[in-house]
Amino acid sequence: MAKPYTLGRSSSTGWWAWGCKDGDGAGSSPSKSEARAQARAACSGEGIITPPDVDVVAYRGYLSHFTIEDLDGKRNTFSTEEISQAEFSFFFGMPCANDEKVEDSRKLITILKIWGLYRGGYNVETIMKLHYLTPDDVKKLITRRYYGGTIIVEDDGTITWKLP
Amino acid sequence: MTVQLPGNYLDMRLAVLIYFIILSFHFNSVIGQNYPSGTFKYGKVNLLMDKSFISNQDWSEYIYYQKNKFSTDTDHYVKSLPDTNIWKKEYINGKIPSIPGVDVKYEADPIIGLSFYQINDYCEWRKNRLIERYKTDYVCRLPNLDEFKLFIERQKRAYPYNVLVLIENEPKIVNYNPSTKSMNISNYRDNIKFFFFCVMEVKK
Repeated sequence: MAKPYTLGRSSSTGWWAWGCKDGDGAGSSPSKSEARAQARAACSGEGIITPPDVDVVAYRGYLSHFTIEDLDGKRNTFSTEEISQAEFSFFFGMPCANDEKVEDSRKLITILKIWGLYRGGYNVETIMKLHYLTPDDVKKLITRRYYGGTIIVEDDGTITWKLP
Repeated sequence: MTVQLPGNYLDMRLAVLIYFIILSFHFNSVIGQNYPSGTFKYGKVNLLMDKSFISNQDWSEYIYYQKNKFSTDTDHYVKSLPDTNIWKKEYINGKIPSIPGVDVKYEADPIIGLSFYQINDYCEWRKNRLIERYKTDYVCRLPNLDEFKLFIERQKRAYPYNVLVLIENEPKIVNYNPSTKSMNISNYRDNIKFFFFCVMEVKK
């Protein structure tokens, strides 16, 4: 989930102005780090991971494509060329004959793509590096133990994972 | 052994050197800009003027400063709020900008529903923020008529509007019609809708 606040230079004072995305607070500070700290303290909008809404289009019983909300509420459409039926089934925890064939790296890519966080990488090590994941985070993600967790994408691109 | 470099190679090196000098100068001027991005420098002396009218978003920075520093039950905060009777007439949903839950579509619109005294307080507040940020001594004030003329040359608004200016140190309302480029000046009074912008003098 993207950070729950906005941060930018005020055009009238040159201070760093921040505001909670949910409109629940705002402020400004001469230094960026101080403004960011204030925003973090004030904006409680860390996104809790919950199962997303999805619209599925199937053809003769086989998945054709699906449209799903990412963690920012944006709807994205994926074809089975991008996310296969087995990967889709994995994400939703549905039993599927090909479940076991989905590699850990593909599981991570599927989750990150659906959440709108995917930055690249095709093996687990690269994906971990690009997404600031620890081995423990990876283990939780590929076993789908992430509901109720939070993700914060910082201004500098770092991602903080708080998985249960 | 001495090797004579071909002339065109030297020219190329010189061109690259000049290019980097220009690039470096450009970066320095952008990065080292010692005034807010919403203002521009003008005149022979160090004067800054807002590029556009003070917006709801600009004003919200002021309100939130008062709220965070003094809390909502103080005069500092209450006096920073715009007059909702004027605000509601313009912005139909009636929500005050910068108050939690405001519709972001009004953020860039000029703030209205303020008094001359509130704006004076804002200028004082803004001056202090500028001094803290840029470590330079500023005076923040309303524009005079000549400065207003300079300001409107840069505006693209097509509809008539009222603007608060200082004429011989007295607050006046200038009604400007962009289509006819005519101006009507009247005395300032409360409960009238007007826009405003600021001028900052950099004291040496």
